[in-house]
Amino acid sequence: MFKRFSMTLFILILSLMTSSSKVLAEESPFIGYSGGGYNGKLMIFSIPGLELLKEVSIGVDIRGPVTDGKNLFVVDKAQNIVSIIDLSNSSVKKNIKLSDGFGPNSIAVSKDGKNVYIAGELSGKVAAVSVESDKMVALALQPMPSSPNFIAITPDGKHCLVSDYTNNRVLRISTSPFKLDKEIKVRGPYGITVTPDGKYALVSSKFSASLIFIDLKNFKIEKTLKTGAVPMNIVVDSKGAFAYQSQHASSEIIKIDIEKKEVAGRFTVKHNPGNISISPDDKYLISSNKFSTGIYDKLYSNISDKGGAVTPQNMEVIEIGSGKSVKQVAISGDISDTVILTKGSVKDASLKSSGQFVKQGGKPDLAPKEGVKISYTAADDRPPGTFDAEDGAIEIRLKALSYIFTPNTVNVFKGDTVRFIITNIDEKALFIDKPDVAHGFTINGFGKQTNVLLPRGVSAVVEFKADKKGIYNFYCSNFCGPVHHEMRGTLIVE
Amino acid sequence: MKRYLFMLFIFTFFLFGFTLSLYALSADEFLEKVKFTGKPVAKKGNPAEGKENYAMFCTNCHGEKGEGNGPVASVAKMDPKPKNHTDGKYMNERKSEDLFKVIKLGGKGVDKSVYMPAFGMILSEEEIWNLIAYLRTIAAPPYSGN
Repeated sequence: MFKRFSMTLFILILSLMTSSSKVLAEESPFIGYSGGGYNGKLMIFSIPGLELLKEVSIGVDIRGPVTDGKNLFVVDKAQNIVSIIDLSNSSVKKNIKLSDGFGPNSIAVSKDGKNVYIAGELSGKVAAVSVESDKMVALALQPMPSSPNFIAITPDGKHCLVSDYTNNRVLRISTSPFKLDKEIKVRGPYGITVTPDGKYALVSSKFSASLIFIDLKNFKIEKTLKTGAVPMNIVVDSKGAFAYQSQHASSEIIKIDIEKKEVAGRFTVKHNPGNISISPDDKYLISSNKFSTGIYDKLYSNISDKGGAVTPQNMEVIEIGSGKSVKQVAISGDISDTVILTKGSVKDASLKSSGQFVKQGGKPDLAPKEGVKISYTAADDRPPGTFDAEDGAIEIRLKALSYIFTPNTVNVFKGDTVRFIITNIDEKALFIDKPDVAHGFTINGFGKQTNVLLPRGVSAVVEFKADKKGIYNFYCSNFCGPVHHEMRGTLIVE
Repeated sequence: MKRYLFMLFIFTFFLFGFTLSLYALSADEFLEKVKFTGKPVAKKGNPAEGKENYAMFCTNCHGEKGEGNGPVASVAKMDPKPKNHTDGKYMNERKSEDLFKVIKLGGKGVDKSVYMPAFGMILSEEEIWNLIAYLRTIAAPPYSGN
C-alpha cells in the first residue's frame, strides 16, 4: 500500500515539475502595459513570464491604459492630464491638460485614435477630447454629487457608457453631438464593457453581487446574473463568447457564457482581484490581485524607521484552458488597467529584460515629490480635526479607515503652511477581512506634494504650502476594498 | 495507512496550489450580510438600499448591528463613542431632518463627534434618505414616525 502511495506521489511531483518547466521554458509571446497608479508609471512586462521590460515615469497617479493599436492613452488622476505614449518607443509624445479638478479615473479611445472619452470621477464630469487639437468638451452630470468612474465605448463609436456609483446608474452618452441621452438604474455599478458585436453592455453591480446584461438596442436590463461577492472589472474574449469578471471579496474570477448568460467556470486567485485583462489569443487571463497577505508579507522593508509594513499587490497569470495559475509575482504600485499586445505587433527596441517589479527589502515605489516635506511618526492617537500648530502651520489630523477619511472637509487659507498628519486607524478592511490594508492619500491639484501610503502603525506627516485658491478633492490612492473609490474628501483653500 | 493518506492529501493540496482562500466570501454570503430582513417603517426612503450603504460605510464604527461597537470604535478611543442606532429612546426622538443633516454634513457640522465624516460628498440625497429609512427599522423600542 505504501509503495502505491509513494508511486502516486512521485507521479504527481513529476507532472507538476514538467508542467512548471514547460511554462518557464515557453517564450512569453505577449507584452503587457499597465498603469501603475500611485507610482506614476507605465509598467511594461512580458506575458506569461511577468518579467519587467521597462518602466516609464509619466506623472503621479496613472490610470488606464487603452490603445488604438499605435498609441497608448493614460490619465493622471492627481494632475488632470491625458498622456499619449508612442508604442514604437514607449515614450510620452504628448500631454493634454484637462480642466482643473477634473479627477479622471478611466479612459476610452475611438477606433481611429482621434478622440478619447474620459470619466472624471472627482468632478462629476465626462469629457470628449480631440487628440489632435486638444479641444475638450465636458458634460457636467446632474444631480451633484455624481461620480462617473468607468467608461467604455461601443464598437460603432456612437456611444460611451459610463458607471456612476453615487447615483447608482449607467449613463449612455452619444459621441456626436456629445450629450447624455439615456440612463438606467444599476446598484453600485463598477467596471463596464461592451461585447464585440455591440449587443450588450456588461456591468458589474457591487451591491447585487451580479453581472448586469444591458441590451444596448433598447437600453434595458435583460438579465441580472448572480456571480460573486463584490464584482469589479469585466473583460470579454476576442470572439465575444465568454466574459470574465473579477470578484474582489470572493477572490475569484468568474467565467460567463455570454450567449447562455450563465456562469461557465470559476478560477481562484490569491487574493482579492481588481483589474483583469485577457491575451489576444484568449489563452491567458491576467489578474491584478490587490492583497498578497501570506504570500509577499515581508517583501518590502518598513516604510520608515518607525514601522509601517506595506505588502505589495501581485499579478497572477491564469491559463484559461486548464484553469491553472501559471505565474504570480509581486508588483509595485496599484495597477488600474492592462493592455495586452502580441510581441510581433510591437516594434520597440527599448524593451529589454529588467528583472523583477519588486526587489526584496526595497521600499514601495511612489511618484517623485516637489516642494513638500514627508516623514512618518509613531501613530498619532489624538482626535481628528484642524488645529493651529505652535509653529504657525495649520495642522490637520486626518484619520483614514475603511472606507472614509475623517474629517473629509478641510478649510485653509491661501498662503498657509498645511501639515497633514494622517493615520490609518483600520482594524480590517470590511468584507475582505484583511488585517494589513494600507490606504493612500493624494490631493488632486497637489499631486506632487501629496501621494503617500498609509500603512497601519504609523502616521504620515505631509507638509506643503497651500499656494493656490480653489476646491481640491483628496482621495484614497491605494486600493483598499469594496468602496475604495468612495473614500474621498475636500480641501478648500480660501 | 490513514496517516499516509492524510500526508498525500496535504502534499498534493500544497503542490497544486488548491489552497482554500482564507478570505473568500461567496455571493450568497455577501448578499446575506447586506440583506434587509426588517419591515419598512419610515415614509421616505428605501431601507433595503439603505442597509447596503450602512454595511459599507457605517459598520466600522457603529457595528454590524448598529450598536455603536464597530471594530474601529474602541481602538481609536473615540470620545464620544459612536452612536448606538438601536437605542430607540434616543434615536426615535431625533427628527429625520436632523439625521439627514448629520449624515450629509458630518458630526462637526452639527456639534457631534469629529469622527463622523460628511457623507454628502459621495452619497446622493436619495441614498441618505435610504440610510435614514434603514436606521428607523433597527431601533428598539420601534420607531413610530414623526
